[in-house]
Amino acid sequence: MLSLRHWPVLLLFFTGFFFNSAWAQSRFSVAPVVAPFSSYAEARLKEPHRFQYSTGLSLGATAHYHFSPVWSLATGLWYQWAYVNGQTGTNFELFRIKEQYLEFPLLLNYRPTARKVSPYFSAGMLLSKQPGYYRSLVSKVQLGAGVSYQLNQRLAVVVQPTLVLGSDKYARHYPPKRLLSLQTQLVYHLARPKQKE
Amino acid sequence: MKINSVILRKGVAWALAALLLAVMHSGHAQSRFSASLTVAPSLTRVVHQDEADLITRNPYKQLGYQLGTQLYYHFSDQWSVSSGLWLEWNQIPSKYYDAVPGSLAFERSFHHNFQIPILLNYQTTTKRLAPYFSAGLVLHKAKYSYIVIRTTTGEETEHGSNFYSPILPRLLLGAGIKYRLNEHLSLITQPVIMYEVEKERGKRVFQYSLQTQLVCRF
Repeated sequence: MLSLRHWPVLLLFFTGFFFNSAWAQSRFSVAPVVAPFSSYAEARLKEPHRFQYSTGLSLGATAHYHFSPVWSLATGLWYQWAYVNGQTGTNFELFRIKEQYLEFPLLLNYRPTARKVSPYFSAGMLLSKQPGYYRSLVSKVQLGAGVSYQLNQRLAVVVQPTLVLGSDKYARHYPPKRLLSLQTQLVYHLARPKQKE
Repeated sequence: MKINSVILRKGVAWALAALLLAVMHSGHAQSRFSASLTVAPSLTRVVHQDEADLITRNPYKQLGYQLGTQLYYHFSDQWSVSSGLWLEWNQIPSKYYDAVPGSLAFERSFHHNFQIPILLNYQTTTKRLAPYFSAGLVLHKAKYSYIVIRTTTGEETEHGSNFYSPILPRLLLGAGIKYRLNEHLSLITQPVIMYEVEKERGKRVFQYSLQTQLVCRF
């Protein structure tokens, strides 16, 4: 599984792209992101009454660095509001809470074709933190596959159903959490800096 | 009819992987694949034949909506197959069961389900506006639910449940229209009927929905 421990491997893998500079488009883009989601932490067979389900919304922005027309690396900041329904397993009363998360994505994106409409794949990790909670930083894995629609030279819409795997620090007594979301982003390519001849 | 969930999970994973690989290698001007987003308000009617069953003796209605996504493979201009995932949120809005008549009542309940459609789609023409038909199976899985119970003192309490529930197949039939917005995008609107029968308990489910899909062809 991909994690920060493997950074030398990642670095070696991607330095190759830096030297491949015969390429016309700007290397940087920024993207506001909207992602409604639904998450699940459940143990059906062992403890049918211990579960946590939530729905909510993520808002944020990412910055992309395009190594090549096909590959890009993204990072940014997302804020997530979750409305949670859950039970502890000892008491059958349902509880509802609101949770907030701050997320730093580190993603590798792949757009296999240069056509107007193309499949779009993302994989990477999320560093997730609950603001106000002591040492609540955890890492999660994110996978996504969807569509990239190039509106014009500068703008593209990316719509991706994504899956996030990983539990939160203070939900360790619950089963592992899975989160499904529909991530929508408007990718804006920055102007290309003038090159010196 | 129950379907082994391990086999199902592996099957779905492999099918998705194969489809994604195929998408990546399709080099036509217009590919054989498209992806869609679905929104569908729905009404579900549940009917029981077994009068002796206390909990479920009355037919009841569920109101809700579905959100989801599908991947299509077009093997000709008119025929395609599709699969994906729909998330469904339902509620039974009115009192549907008196546990002990006059004292304890099931007031409302909320249900969250997953559905995996496996569909065959057909459009009669390739014109901009075309009649559009879908038929197939939908694998239905209840994820969790919670009920609101009113006690004798008039107090309302909420109780969640997450019991194991089997994956049950539903038949789907849909007939509507497809409208092509441009080379890549089209809109499908379909009234859809789903039907499920659970023989052991004599339960029948009719689900009516109005599906609207935005389809993007690669």
